[in-house]
Amino acid sequence: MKKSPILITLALVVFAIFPLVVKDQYYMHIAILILYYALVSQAWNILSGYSGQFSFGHAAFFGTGAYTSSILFTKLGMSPWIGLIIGAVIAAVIGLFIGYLSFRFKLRGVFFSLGTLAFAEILRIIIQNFDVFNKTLGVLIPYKPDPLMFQFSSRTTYYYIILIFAIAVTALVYYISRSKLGYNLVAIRENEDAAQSLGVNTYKNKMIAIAISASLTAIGGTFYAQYMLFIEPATTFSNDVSINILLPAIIGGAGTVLGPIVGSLIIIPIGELTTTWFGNFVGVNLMAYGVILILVMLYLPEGIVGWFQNKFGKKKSAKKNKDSSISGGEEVGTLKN
Amino acid sequence: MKKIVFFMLATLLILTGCTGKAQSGEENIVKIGALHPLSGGLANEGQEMRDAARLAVKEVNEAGGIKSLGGAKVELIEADHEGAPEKGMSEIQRLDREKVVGVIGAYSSGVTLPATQEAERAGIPFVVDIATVEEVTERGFKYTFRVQPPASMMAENFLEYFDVLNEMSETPLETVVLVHEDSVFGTSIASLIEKGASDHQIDVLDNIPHAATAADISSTINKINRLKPDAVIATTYLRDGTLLVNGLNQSNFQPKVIIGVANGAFSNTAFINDETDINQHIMDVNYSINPQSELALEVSQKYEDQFNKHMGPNAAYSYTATKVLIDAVERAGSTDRAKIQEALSETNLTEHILPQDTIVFDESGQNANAQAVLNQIINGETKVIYPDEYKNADPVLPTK
Repeated sequence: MKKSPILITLALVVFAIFPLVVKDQYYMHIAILILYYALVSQAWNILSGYSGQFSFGHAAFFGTGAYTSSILFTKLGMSPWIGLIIGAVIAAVIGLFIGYLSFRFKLRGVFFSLGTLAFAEILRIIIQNFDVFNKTLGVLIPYKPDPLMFQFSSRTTYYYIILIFAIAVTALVYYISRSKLGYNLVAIRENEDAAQSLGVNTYKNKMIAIAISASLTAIGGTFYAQYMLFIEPATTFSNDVSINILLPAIIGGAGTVLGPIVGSLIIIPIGELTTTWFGNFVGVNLMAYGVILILVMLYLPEGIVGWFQNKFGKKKSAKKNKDSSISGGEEVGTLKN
Repeated sequence: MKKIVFFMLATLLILTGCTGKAQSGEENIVKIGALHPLSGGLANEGQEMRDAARLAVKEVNEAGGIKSLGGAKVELIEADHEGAPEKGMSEIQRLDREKVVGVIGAYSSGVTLPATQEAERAGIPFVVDIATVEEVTERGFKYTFRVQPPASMMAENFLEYFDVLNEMSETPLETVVLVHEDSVFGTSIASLIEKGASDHQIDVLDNIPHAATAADISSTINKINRLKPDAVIATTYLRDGTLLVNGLNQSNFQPKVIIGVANGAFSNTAFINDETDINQHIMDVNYSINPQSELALEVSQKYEDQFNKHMGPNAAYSYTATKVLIDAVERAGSTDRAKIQEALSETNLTEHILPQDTIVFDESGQNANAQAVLNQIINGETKVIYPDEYKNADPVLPTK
């Protein structure tokens, strides 16, 4: 663990100078996707990794962010930078509303997951049926590079923006994981009733977690909209989006600070590499991708970072290791409840 | 267990090696990209279109390649966007690295918009075969060209043909109900028809959306039964379209005529051949090949021989887009993308398989003469019944 500051500094340097070394637009695009998925997955990690409230509907927050900034920009000419903040606030409110309905009435485990899934669908149907949101036509953001309007002609600028976002959110997650809030959330994940009996206000802590998670996911949504310059209900509110958000964290290790980043660093390049390798055979890239995911799930159920911590963190933090190995078992327990 | 994992990884590596080698080859080739949804929910349509592009390339190569480039062979680089916008973007970059001189695609509007934008940035000519939304050619892009008639043209053609039907028929059609699937495809066409209806003295009683995946659309049928329109106007995909016609057939009320607009069911071989009990005399305003053109019939036959399936409208447009792109390369006499873009903007293609005048692009890059025709299913076969210069059957007019 003592080595990690050096490693992290090294990683930061690599990320920072990446665009200076690599000029290829294809690799830049992939790097942006990696950071963007790391960001949204990290946001998901706060709620679902740390407090164990497994959300299957983060598309609700993602879409809210994307649509808020895009609608405000195209209809009122408001800068997406402001829209980003408004979107984050609205997403937090929606998160609190979902949290209120779910946590107030003690929705746990799969029932909470199903609840979030349903909410994302409800929002999609609302968007699809109101003229303000252009119904199913989506929102096309006119291409006019202007830094004040969150649009850049150079891909490098997008890269640095998403890099800063991803680092900031990861730092926040690191801070939370060391704070009282973080300990409370982990306690809730391990055993909610026990945590409550020890005086943890589980309702309040879960509400804070969902609000933070939702608003950060919405920021990812605004970034996506400004990067793609076109959004539609199918690509912002669908279940696919929810799954893509949670996948890096699951692969990398849910409930760990570096999990979503490591996960994203692995699955995005694999997705692209398999396309390049097997592009001549339709669908083989998806099969290879699927096989790799299954192998990770089978052999590294606690994620890559989780596995590393178990394997190499044994001597120095035996106690911590014990906790995380318990968490695996307890998770199943909560799901059964 | 570990052995199995190693074995799998080893296989993966071997496969990688195999595909890597195929790259090096002859020098004198011109690469063009075909970006379609080859996997995922739209895989069927995407592969149909990819096959059409293959056929076009094969024809050109068999006829001696690109003459202005010393008989250079055309190589088709196939790309799969899976229906995901970010995938479409990265595939354009991959094609850029492959040094394609141009791209055709991409079927889904949601992918076509970001993909054409990426192509514009990279300066790659992009000939859109199918993508309905207006905005594709409304962004002032230099490198984007579209062969297909957009949603507005579909709606305009429908309104015009509706008037023509009314002139020919003794029983006037006055009231209509619009039924459409609720994605961008159905919604855009239906709302454009609704907007233009009053100018054509058409009374739209209702405009009913449904999800294309809906298991049951009996509420739509019930509404139609209550409203009793003269005509039902439908923009649907295959399954929901079949449900609609079946449901109407079994209900108490029969409209005088069912007319599809760009309908995915009424133009589909499966519906035309297998649903003969219910599909008699259904009309469809749709893009299609020109049945009066010898060339079109020949191409359609070749397609059927080679891929063992009927050449649908999507395939016809992919075939044409590929031909348009290759024609531009031939005239440019160069693999320089800017020169090909210039040649594309000067396109004037008379030898084509579409029911329209010569293919020319207007300033926005839209095929200026693109139009839909009015089809009717007569005795299990789809026939063009209007405009007159393309028709191969007389219309059977509503008599009920």
